[in-house]
This record gives sequence, structure tokens and C-alpha cells, in this order.
Amino acid sequence: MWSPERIARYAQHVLLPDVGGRGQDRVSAAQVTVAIGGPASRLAALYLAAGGVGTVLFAGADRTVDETLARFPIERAALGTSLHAALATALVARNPLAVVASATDGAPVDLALDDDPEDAPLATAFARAGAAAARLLHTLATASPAS
Amino acid sequence: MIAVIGAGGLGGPIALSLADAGIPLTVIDDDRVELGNLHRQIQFAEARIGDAKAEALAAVIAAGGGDCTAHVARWTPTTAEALCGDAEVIVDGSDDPVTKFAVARWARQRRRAYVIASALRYGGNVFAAAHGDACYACLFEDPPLDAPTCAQAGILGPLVGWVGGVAAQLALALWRHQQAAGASIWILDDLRRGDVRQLAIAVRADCECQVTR
Repeated sequence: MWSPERIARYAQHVLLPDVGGRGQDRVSAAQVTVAIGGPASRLAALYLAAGGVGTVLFAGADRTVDETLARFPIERAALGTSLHAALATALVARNPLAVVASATDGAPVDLALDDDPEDAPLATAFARAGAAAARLLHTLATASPAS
Repeated sequence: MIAVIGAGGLGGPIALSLADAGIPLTVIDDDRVELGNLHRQIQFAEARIGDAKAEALAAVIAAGGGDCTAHVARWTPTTAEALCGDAEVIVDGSDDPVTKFAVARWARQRRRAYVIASALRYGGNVFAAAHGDACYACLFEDPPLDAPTCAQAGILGPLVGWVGGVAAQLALALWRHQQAAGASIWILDDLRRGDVRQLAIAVRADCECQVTR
């Protein structure tokens, strides 16, 4: 359904050749599993939810947010609590239309970033996350409907 | 201090990345957060709609332990000295070609290193130069007469993370005096095809930077 709120939120995707309203509908209908590792993977999850992916699932073991993670604003606010829960809250705070949950064990992963160490420069993490999330979002928007 | 012009799709990743590297920042933006920004400006929660972008971004950075001053103001050559006169490196992440050319000229005239980042639809580019290098106008000459903004032409949201991350990497190299010699531009023509190219930019003999230096 294209409510005025949804049109405003995704207007700059709908304007894109290849995406349009139908492409954004495909993105909204999609479910994506992201392997949550280092900072690039968490930024990719944020970009996917913000970009309209309907359901974002977190794969991998959850952990407690410690001082190593606290150099990032979202994680710092959740020191001592579950990383998955903090990330899920952040995703939904950016896009309430997104459904976010932990994946079931062994579920196939759609986005995994190798070599994503916790101490990587954030500039590197942003570049990797943006490229990976953009390519996946475009793939979702242009995928032919399942027969 | 590094000044970041624009606190939106590009300015967000740029400022967060530079703050993470421990660099004191000034962010400059006169705009407010809108719903249509949220598909790519992941620094902002929906509750920030209506807030000044510069202040909202500075608050996120401060919450992460960073040092960031916000100026809710429009950067122009007239306001520049007051807003960022003491910046060692200037980074432009605005959505306005005229501002980009003006930032590049202002930085060059004051012998500062600068980075100019742009993103639209499926592509983007990042130009970086230090004092004495070829300048932004050596490459692009003049602002385009009729360049569409993201609001007019669209942009795939996560693209700004890629372009902003690259811009922050180049700004960090300039700040640390670790950049490769000479001006360069990183180009992603279209993320649906091909990868990033890096080109070295030579001085253009009839550029204003050569005539007026």
C-alpha cells in the first residue's frame, strides 16, 4: 500500500530507473538475512532496513555489548545489553515499517562480510557496507517475481 | 579540525568516520531532517524529523564520544571564514554543485586540503586535493548549468555509505599527510556495472588556479 508516508519515505528510490514503485514493493516484500559480525555488517543492516527491506533477520550468535563495541554511537547506548536487541531497536527507530528479528539457526545468509574486524576504521566499514547493501538492494528491487 | 559541509547522506558517514578516527569536527548544514531523507541518512532516527541536521548529527557523534561542533547555517564563501576558517581540511558532502565549486575554490585560495564528494542515482565520485595540486575546476571547469539533486533524480540509499566512506578515507589521508602525491578522483560510474576507478588529475594550464595563483 502506498500511503503518503510511504511515498515520501521512498520517493528517491521510486524515482530511480530500475526501481520505481514496483521495485520498491519487491524490496518491501523481501526478507534478508544478514550475518552480524563487525561494524560493516551492522551498518549494512541499517542501510537495508532504512532502504525498505521488509524483514531483516540477524544471523550469528548474539553477544553482549562491551567496551570494544562502545566506540559506535548505537552500541555505546546499549552497553551491557544484547547486541542484536540494540541493533533491532536502532533499525526500527529508523524505519518502523521494518520487521527485525534474529534468524533461526542454520538459515541461509544473504549478506555476509568477511574480514570485518571490530577495530576496522569506520570509514572502511561505511564504504564496504554501503557497496554491499546497495548491490543487494538493487538485486531485490529488480528480481523477477517468484513463479 | 576538519570541517564537514553537509550533515546528510554523505556528511553523516563522513563525520561519523572522522570522529571515530579521533578528529575534532565542525559540521555545517542549514537543513532539517525530513522523512524523505531517512532511506539513506542512517545517522537519524525517525524521531529526529524536523530537527536541524547539523545539531542532530553532532548529538549522535557526541553520544559516541566524539568531538563535534554544529553550525546550523548555510556555507557560502561569505560565511565560510566564520564557520570553518580554522579547519585544516574541508570536506564537502553537500547536495549542490555550486557549493562544491565554491568550497573547492575557497579551500584552494586558503591553501587547505579538501575533499569533494558527490552521489546521485547509482553512482558517485570523490575528488581530493592538497595545496598546490590540480584543483576541482582543473577537472570539471565550471558548475553544471542544470544538475539534478537527489530529490529530483533519486538515489539508491546505501550508495551514500560507500561514497561517504571513501571520502572519509581520503580526508583522513590528507589530515595525516599520508595521501598519494597529486590530486585524484575516485569514480563509481554505476554500481550496477563495474567497480571503482581512481584517476590522477593533472593541472589544466588555463584553469583559474594557474592564472591567479
